[in-house]
Amino acid sequence: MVQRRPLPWWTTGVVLVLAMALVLLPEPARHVEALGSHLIAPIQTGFSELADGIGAFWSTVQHIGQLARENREYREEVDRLQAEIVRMNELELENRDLRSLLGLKQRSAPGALVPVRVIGRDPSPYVQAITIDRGANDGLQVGMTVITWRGLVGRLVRSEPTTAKVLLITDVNSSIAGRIQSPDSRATGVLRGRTEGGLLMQHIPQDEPIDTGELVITSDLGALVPEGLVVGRIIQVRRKDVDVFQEAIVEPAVEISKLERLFVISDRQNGRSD
Amino acid sequence: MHLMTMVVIVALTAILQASAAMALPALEARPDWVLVVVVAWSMLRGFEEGAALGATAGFFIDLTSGAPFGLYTVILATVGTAAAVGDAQSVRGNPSMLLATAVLATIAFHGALMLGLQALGWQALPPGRFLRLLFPTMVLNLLLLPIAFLVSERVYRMTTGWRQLEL
Repeated sequence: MVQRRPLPWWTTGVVLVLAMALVLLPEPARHVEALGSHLIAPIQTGFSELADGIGAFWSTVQHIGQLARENREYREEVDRLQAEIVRMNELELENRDLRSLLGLKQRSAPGALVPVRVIGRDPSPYVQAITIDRGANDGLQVGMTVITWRGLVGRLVRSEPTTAKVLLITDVNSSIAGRIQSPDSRATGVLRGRTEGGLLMQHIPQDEPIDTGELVITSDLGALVPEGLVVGRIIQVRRKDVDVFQEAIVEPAVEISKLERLFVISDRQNGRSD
Repeated sequence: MHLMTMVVIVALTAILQASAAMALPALEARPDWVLVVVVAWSMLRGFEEGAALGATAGFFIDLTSGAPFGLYTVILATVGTAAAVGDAQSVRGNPSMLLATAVLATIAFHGALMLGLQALGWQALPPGRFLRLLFPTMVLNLLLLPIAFLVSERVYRMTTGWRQLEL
């Protein structure tokens, strides 16, 4: 081989010091990260679109008969849901009138929804995060909530000019307040990601009657996420007589491994008080 | 020229790895493509280029990851430096050296990642879960490293005009 040592040995020291500086000096590193993210965003979007295109084509070829049948069913479902929307609009008006009569404040709107696409997933199995194709230039800020029509996905942890990182609710470092939506119990608890997948709802008072199949929604305790977003369903209850609290394992409503098109709640109005 | 070519290759590999991860189930073992390329190049070209390529590769992974920024850059630069111990001449004489390097590099990379996350305030996986992820990843990396080594050699030859001496 020729040129066995083309770089001087001291370059290794310089490289390691610069690498350490990225971790130890987060503020200058933020600028480097913003610039780098801006540069790679088009390539990442390109790869993501290519992968989506191949996946969609393959899936269509595989399930063409099933898709035609589902299409017929969905048309009927759309008709039914449109009728339901009309009925719910009437109920909302009625609810608003009744709240005015009782002197209660109106519930805050969930905020404007910014549609985003997933362009990457964290390469490490230890961090459950995704990259989306919009960032600070579109008004997205750290802490904003990310959803699909099915329910909660996660919260923004980093926002660059053109992209943003979302920490998924299934990550072990994610923690949000949740409430059980049941006529018998309105118990609250803390929802955390599990290393085995899914969510663990902790700190539910022992005397609250909870059962499998019940729906879990977000609670505005802690004011981290808007209230009332669907999180998932309880699939297992863990209760011991000696414990103060009981726990529940929750299956997320959103299929975390198949995220494509999401929405960021961009201008949440805090402070519901009724 | 050859190092610049490899920088482009690892950058694209890092971005492709993040895009491909979308198709893989979460919390499951997956090959560390970028790590394997860095280790192969370090063994081929020595610790100086191993460190430079590792830092570059880590930087691009950091851009696609939600983990604290800079963590991958530090870890891959260090692993890239250390992997040069199993240099190309030794590997040609003793192919098991390649397999040992793949195993050690995977343990070092994932172990450092877990410790780094914990040091920066992130909750890490329990040891049992970590080991269940580590061993399949190690096997996948072990299978990929010989291929990456051969491809790296080919890239080096193509970009430097290296020719085998014909007698």
